[in-house]
Amino acid sequence: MSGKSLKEKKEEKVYPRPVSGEKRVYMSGNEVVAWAALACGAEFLCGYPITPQNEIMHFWSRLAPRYGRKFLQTEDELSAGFAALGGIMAGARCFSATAGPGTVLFQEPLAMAEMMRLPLVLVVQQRGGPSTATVVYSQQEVFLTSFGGNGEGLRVVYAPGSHQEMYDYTIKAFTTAWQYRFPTLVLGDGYQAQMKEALTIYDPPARGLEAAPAFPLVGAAGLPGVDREPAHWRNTFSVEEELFDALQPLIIDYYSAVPFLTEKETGFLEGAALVVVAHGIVGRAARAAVGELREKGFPVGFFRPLTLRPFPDEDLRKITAAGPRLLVVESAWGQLNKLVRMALGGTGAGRAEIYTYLRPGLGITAAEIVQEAENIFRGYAEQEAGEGNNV
Amino acid sequence: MNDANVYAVKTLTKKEYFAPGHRSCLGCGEALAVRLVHKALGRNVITASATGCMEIVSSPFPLTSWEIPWIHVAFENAAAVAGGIEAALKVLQRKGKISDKKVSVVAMAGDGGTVDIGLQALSGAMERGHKFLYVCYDNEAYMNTGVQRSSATPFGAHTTTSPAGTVVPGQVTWKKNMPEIAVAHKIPYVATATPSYPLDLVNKIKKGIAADGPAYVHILSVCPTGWGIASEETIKFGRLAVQTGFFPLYEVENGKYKITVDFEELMPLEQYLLPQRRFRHLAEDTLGYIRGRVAEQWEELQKRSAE
Repeated sequence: MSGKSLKEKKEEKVYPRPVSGEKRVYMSGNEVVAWAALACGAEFLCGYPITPQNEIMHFWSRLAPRYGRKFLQTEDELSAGFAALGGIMAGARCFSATAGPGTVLFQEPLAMAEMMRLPLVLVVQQRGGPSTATVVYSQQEVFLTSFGGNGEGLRVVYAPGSHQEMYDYTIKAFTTAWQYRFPTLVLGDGYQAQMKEALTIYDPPARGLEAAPAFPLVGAAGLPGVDREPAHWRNTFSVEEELFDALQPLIIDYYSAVPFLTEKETGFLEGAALVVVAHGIVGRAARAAVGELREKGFPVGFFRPLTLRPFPDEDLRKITAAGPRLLVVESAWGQLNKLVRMALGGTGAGRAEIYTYLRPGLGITAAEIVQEAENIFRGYAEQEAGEGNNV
Repeated sequence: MNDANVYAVKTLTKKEYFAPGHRSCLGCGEALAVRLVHKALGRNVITASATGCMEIVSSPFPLTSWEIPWIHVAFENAAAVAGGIEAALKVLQRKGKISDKKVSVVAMAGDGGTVDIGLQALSGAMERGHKFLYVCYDNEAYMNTGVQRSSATPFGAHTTTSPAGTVVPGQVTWKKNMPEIAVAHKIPYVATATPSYPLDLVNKIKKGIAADGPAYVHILSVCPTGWGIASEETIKFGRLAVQTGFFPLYEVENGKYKITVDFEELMPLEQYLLPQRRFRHLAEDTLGYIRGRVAEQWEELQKRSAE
């Protein structure tokens, strides 16, 4: 890049808006992410190759020059994350995308962004752990994205379940990140990344979706301490008491935003004796399964957290207060289940009986969930105190 | 020299340590290099591998192509793992817990796992002076994940993250000179090689593993899939890379440079570049720039090896 700032360069040439009006398209999830980021004015992608999110970079690096955007490929994910943070501090709307082992390396930039209130947007397409060759699909990065890193998990994690949601929530991630100034993640998976699906893309400002303006955090005019208050962008504390003090306003800010951040989808809750809880792409199978079970006459409901962090605790507690059992379905060994238990813990509703259907790394079909739910009902009928497969 | 190479390679062991049946692409130059390297290394070797094409193609669960002890851990750490193995062998032998048979320790990685994400671990291992051989199989991009640029990708090359178009002419940075970085660590042996010159490659591996300290061998591994050439032309393009001076073959023994495959006159660069799909878009000005830098690099190398 030359000495000119991104802003000056942009003023030299007027680029077309990436998306105008509404358009019905057929795209892979990765392409959707690239278009969503372009549409909502992301200026700069810092990335590193990792399957299954590679095509986000492929599409971005092809499309970016047409719309005056930038692409930087770094030498690893640590650098990608910190380059994005540097870009944000310089006043550009930066984002990144990663998966699997890359998400592990991203924890340091994420923890840093949390403490410095830097609005880093990160798209994660989950794959099987721990490292290489398992590149297809999993839901094993729930805890890593929600609570990873040496911090307090002051992040927002969206879990979209369809390509339309992938588009909507990638855009939303930018508005949320720049409004609340906490790192915001979009948690997809390899299946969503690679499969193609029809969706409607639109110009976000036309729907009133515009992220707060990006501005430089460093290099403000005047001598710090004399002409203005020092910006003090630092994370180094001499003693832990200082860390404690610095953290307090962050925690207050985060938890006071929680009621505005949490999102969920529910269905068929009325009279439900069993509520299927699932997130992301598994949520679609759960929704279909619940529809099918209701047709068969089983009193089954459906709960899908759209934000995994902050988790819609209140909503779930309200549901369990009516007394249904829960069936947690996920492609991991109990990561969503732990979030559910954390949400319910300590209250009377926390004693709700929770069944699980855990398939780390495997896709889950509606038929499997129907089968599992039917087994639960059968077991319950046969045995008053049905024990199920509680974990 | 070339002919001698072809015949002398028949003197190599018939034993395969990198067994056939692996899943590499047709005409994979890297698989060929791995096979030759391990023929040179023999049986008493432990290899630590970074993530990359060779790890994926050689060890699809639960199978393996490896007939020697081979470990894969993650992407950024081949040199660190090899360093750990070397240190452990040393201490176990010193304490008399294992036989004091000489076991060679080798780290292998692609260009991404060496010059990008693995550079820190490699530099650390070279600095600590582990007695091991590091082999970089350089196919000049992240071929395993779908041909993304690395810092070993040559200037002007089209990759999926350095697409050539009207705004950007492909890769915009010059290939990182990893052998020079290794030389700067003052290690006893550094060399470049390619399987198109098999005897040269085998000799360098043997020298590297015999060196008293860290050794680094950088092997240009032609990738028909990523480079856009016919799969039967792997050897030809490896030769062209050397004959045009694009990838000179040399070694640095205790700081002393020597061009191992020398030419009176280099072949025109276009013969190497333009038949490849990744370079077919190159305009005359870009070509001229590459020509200049390659000539400069060759002259510099000749000067150093004459010292």
